[in-house]
Amino acid sequence: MSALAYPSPLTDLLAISLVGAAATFFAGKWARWVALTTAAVSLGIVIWVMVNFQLGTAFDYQFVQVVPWLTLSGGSGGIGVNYTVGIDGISLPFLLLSPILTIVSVVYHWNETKNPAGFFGLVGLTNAGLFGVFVSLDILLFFAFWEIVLIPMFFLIGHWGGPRRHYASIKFFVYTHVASVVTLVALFAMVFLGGWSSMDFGGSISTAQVAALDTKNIMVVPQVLLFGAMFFGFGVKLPMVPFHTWLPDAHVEAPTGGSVLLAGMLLKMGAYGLIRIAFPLLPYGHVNAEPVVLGIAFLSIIWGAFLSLSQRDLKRMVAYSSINHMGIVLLAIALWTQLSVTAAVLLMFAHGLVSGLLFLLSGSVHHTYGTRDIPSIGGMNSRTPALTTMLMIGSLASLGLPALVSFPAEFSAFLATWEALRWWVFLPLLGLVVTAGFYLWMLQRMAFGPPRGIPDKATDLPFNEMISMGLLVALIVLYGILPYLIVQFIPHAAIFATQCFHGGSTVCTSTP
Amino acid sequence: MIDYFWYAFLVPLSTAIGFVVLGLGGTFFKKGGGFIAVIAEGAALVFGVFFAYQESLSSTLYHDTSFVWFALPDGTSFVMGTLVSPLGALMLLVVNIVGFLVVLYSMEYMAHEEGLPRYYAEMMLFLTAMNGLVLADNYLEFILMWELVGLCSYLLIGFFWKKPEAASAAKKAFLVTRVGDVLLFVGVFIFFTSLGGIVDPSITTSPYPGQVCSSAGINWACAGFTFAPPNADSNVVFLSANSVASVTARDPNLMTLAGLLILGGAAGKSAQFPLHTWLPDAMEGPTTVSALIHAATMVAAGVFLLAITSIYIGFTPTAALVVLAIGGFTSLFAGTMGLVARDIKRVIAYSTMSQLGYMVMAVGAASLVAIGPGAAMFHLFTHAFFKALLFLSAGSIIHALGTQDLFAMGGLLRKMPVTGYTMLIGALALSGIPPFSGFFSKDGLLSLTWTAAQHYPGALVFFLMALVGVLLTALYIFRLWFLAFSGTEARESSAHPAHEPSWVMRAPLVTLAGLTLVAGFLPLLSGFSHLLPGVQWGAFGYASSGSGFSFSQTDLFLGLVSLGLALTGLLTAYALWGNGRVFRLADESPLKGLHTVLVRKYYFDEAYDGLAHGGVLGIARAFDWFDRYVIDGTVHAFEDLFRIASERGRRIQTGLVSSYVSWVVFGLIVLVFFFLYALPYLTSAWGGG
Amino acid sequence: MIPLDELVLFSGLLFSLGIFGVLTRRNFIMLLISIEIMMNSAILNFIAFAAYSPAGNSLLEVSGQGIAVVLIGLAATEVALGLAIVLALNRIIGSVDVADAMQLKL
Repeated sequence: MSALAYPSPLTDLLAISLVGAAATFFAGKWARWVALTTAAVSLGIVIWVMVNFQLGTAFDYQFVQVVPWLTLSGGSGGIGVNYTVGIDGISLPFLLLSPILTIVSVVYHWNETKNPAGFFGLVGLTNAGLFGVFVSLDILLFFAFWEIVLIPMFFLIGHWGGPRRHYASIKFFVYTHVASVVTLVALFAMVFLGGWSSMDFGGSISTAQVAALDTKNIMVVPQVLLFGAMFFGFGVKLPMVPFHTWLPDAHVEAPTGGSVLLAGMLLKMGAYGLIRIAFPLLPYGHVNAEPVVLGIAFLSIIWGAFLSLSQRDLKRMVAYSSINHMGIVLLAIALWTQLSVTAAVLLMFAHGLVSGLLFLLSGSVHHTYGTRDIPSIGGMNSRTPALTTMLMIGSLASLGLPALVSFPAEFSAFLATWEALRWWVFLPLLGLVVTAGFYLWMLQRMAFGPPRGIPDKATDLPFNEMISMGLLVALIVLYGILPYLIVQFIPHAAIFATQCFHGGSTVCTSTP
Repeated sequence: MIDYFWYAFLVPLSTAIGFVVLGLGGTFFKKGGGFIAVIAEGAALVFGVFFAYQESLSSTLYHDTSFVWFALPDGTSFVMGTLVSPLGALMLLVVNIVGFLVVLYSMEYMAHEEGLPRYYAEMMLFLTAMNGLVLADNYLEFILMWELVGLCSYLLIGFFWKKPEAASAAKKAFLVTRVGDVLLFVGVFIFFTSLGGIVDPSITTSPYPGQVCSSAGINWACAGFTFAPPNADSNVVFLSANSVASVTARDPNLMTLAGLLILGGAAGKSAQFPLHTWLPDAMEGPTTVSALIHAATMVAAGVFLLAITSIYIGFTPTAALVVLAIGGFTSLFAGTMGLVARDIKRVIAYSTMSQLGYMVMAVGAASLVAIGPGAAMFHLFTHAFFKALLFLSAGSIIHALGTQDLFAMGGLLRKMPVTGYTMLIGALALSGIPPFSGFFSKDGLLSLTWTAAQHYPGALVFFLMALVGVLLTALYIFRLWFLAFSGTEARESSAHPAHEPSWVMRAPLVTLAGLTLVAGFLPLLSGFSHLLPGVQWGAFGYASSGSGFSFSQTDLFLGLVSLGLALTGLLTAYALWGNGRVFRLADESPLKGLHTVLVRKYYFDEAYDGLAHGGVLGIARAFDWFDRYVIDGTVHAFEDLFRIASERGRRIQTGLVSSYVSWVVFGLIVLVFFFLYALPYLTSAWGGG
Repeated sequence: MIPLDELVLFSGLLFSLGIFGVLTRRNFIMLLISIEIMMNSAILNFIAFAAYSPAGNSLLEVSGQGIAVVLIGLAATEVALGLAIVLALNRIIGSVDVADAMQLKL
């Protein structure tokens, strides 16, 4: 990891998105334009970064910038806390996804009337915080951004949410905050026990940090304890069964744009933390805890699928299907092979787009038909064909239809599961069948059949909602047909992560 | 010659363009959408016939793998490519000839329906995916296209979406085939990991340009997902080096399981027992859809999957025997249900299931005796034409009468002679009466199964089932034909007077009838026989072998038996339903119980509904209860704990300064005691420091 | 010179007296006086230990006296603030009884 001579574009990205978010709060009636511009500019920077990203040659981080920040007393010469940013192929897809979903949320809420400046400002702040999470290569910086993301989401749910918004926002906050505190303790314990000279991680630095843990004889038992704490902390965010019940409540009450960011990005933070910190930095820990992690992953897959089947509320159903999909992600991460980690990242990217679309649709169904109760609406296709078509595309994408973005991800994840675990693959595949079942059953009841429960004033999608959904559909199809466009970034980083930090001590000291 | 094949992607591309144009600008074209569809499919037909012709001349495999879907740095590639193979070329002919005729037929048949742009766009997507499927060069691409044709089937069954039955049938079709798909996934995973692990040291060049086959580990590029082995430029490949044969010695059970899982996928798509329940319900879709998707092409994709698997990968004998058994059983099982159906389309649907059973059985038999699956593919080829013909004729009746109930029809031959006689040709072909195509193909596969049963006596039971199926086939299809066409007038007056459709619908009927007449003789052309590896064309004991004909007494006997059975069925049907007679079982008949069982389709729908509602949904409800009251209940218990604790705890907050001060003083005293007495004692107890 | 023991003992007595006053009185002014008494006992302690500091260690001597002076200033400030609060309290709730000023209790 070599620092750049010039400031990293990632710093520009952070600065612009933070300043833009701050400006949005004070922009009054121009807030939506400021928010949209900020997100578009940050998307532009991300695309510039993607274009200039070096493929295949370097396994290590790129666009790195290191600025010393603090020195904590401890270890032998203090523990350095740096402003360290950089990206690799694992963080790049998330960096791309975040501004896309922000733009989608802003466009969808274009005509927001309840304190729009505050709403768009908080959405922008979430985006900025997410950028921070995915570019930070320092534990304290990572954690700071991690916490920054929670706060705007708390207010988005608590102020703009549905009838039970206060309950949902408090539940969301308490859950994630308890998880954060446990994570923080584990992170600090790891840093101090390992006697690290800095809180940086990632790439070859991680290799050194793991070696430091080895020299301090922090091996199996302490690593398993640390890993357990981090797994709990990141897993609540994922969410994993049985710490998942905040998710349906938060989603049902959250405003549509908030749901999009919550499902599309915030859930991914947990998995990202696992891939980036918990698994590579604690190689003994994750190897020894693997059965538990796998068990929870299978449980989440089955639990999410079956619970979706029994939901009456469309949005709650989609929320539970997120638990199912994130269970597959957790499974793929736990297998910790090149293919599976690639599949996990790709699946998270896919799920960000697809669940974003489905939450937009839930919002549109709600304000078009006045309810999201599946059994009380029927024959939507006769009144709102565009909305129904979108709902169908979203459902098919979520149940893993080929030529849509989830398929390559799910197929590779299942293939990796077969390679590692053999017949256990039938459990996630059972989830796949049930997933198809509840989506098609929902479509049969809501979209088809004779018209039923349709209010007189129901009209088809307005222009701004059409644009935001159309953008997501276009990306779902594009990346479904040409997954290479996004997969090309991932596997090099996945190789580095899985080959260097698997089982016991560090296997490789330089780039493989 | 090979160079032509680089352009094979033009076949799916033609219809893909049609799909994009119709999908994006459908409403813009109004009624003209049908013309665009016909033009696009016409182009695909031209290309398809051209490539099939070229393939029949060369009969070599052609790989083009220019499109890497995504790749991992260790050389693992997920590749989308083109494989022009004999079987694929045959399928190109089937898909595009039937596809073109059906799209043409749709122009009148569907003209008055709502949502035409959607119909044509979905048809175009289906044809694209189906052409892609037959040209797929590895299992991954095959699965991709396989799922897409399933999607189109779902969309088109649900075309009349306002009807609750159509919406339900569409969901059922998707879900039942999805179960098969899951099995197929695992089967492919097994093949991939087991066969990919074997790297033949002699194979060093990958079929994929720019890929290097590593000698260790698993490599998609060099094995596994690939159908055809590398360097497969020679003649038709049968059981290549990278095949089950080379693994069976090491892990026979796993390979058997893999074969059975592949069979599971094929059974879902081809409506074989026990995943057959969706096909009769799928008749809720438009008749054109039934003709194209649920008779000629998509349901045959399962047989195609088994055929290519038997060629390139192979089945273990056990797996092949199960394939044979499932097929043989289904051929009889479906036939019995077809005997009692009232709906004209459902009778044909059951006959499709039954005929697909014959093909599956023939693939199993071919694998058992280790020859190519040509017999099954020949039947697939002839069946596509006569079955599409039957469906389109039925569509012509439905179009004219507006009813699908056989017992409401009758005496149609006078009013609709073209429909009647073309349908008669279809029925004769289906029953296996010479010289119609079905006779040759059915004879071929029965004789093949008989050969297999010589080596594996277990297969004999299923061979006998298939023979009984021949009798039933003739019985139910002529029951249909006599009920609809014989007699003098309709049993129930319909809203519309019966009339012949216009040439747009008649032309496909006549064309298909013509094809039904000639298709049986096509293997006599040496080029065409290249497309059917392992087939021996023949009739009445004579079989073409290379230059001349060979004769076998067994085959003669078999041919006469099956012909006799078919004629028996035909005559029985005439006796019961011919000349306007309507035979119904009397209520006190001892067969009435059996009749009810058949009408209720052996209660499979009830059983599966029970499984879905009582089983899956019941589990889901139980999980939901657990989630709400146990998991979230625990969360709420914590909430209560903290609330009660804080309500108790806040009582020390009296608001009186003096009480606070007394707490301070108390704390002070404790601290003083601790530092003066306890700490020195403790430090001395711990040894100082 | 008065022995150090007696000075410390006297200081302790004063402190206890102050605590007793704080615990028993409800009148805000009496509370203030009690607090002043406690503070004065502390000042006495500082001065006593300063006077008995080891010979030659002028730093201890000076700092003890210095702290005492600062504390006297602090006490004065505290009384001033306290009386201001008393006046404000009297104006708001019409009483100088601390038991009447319980609005902060939930």
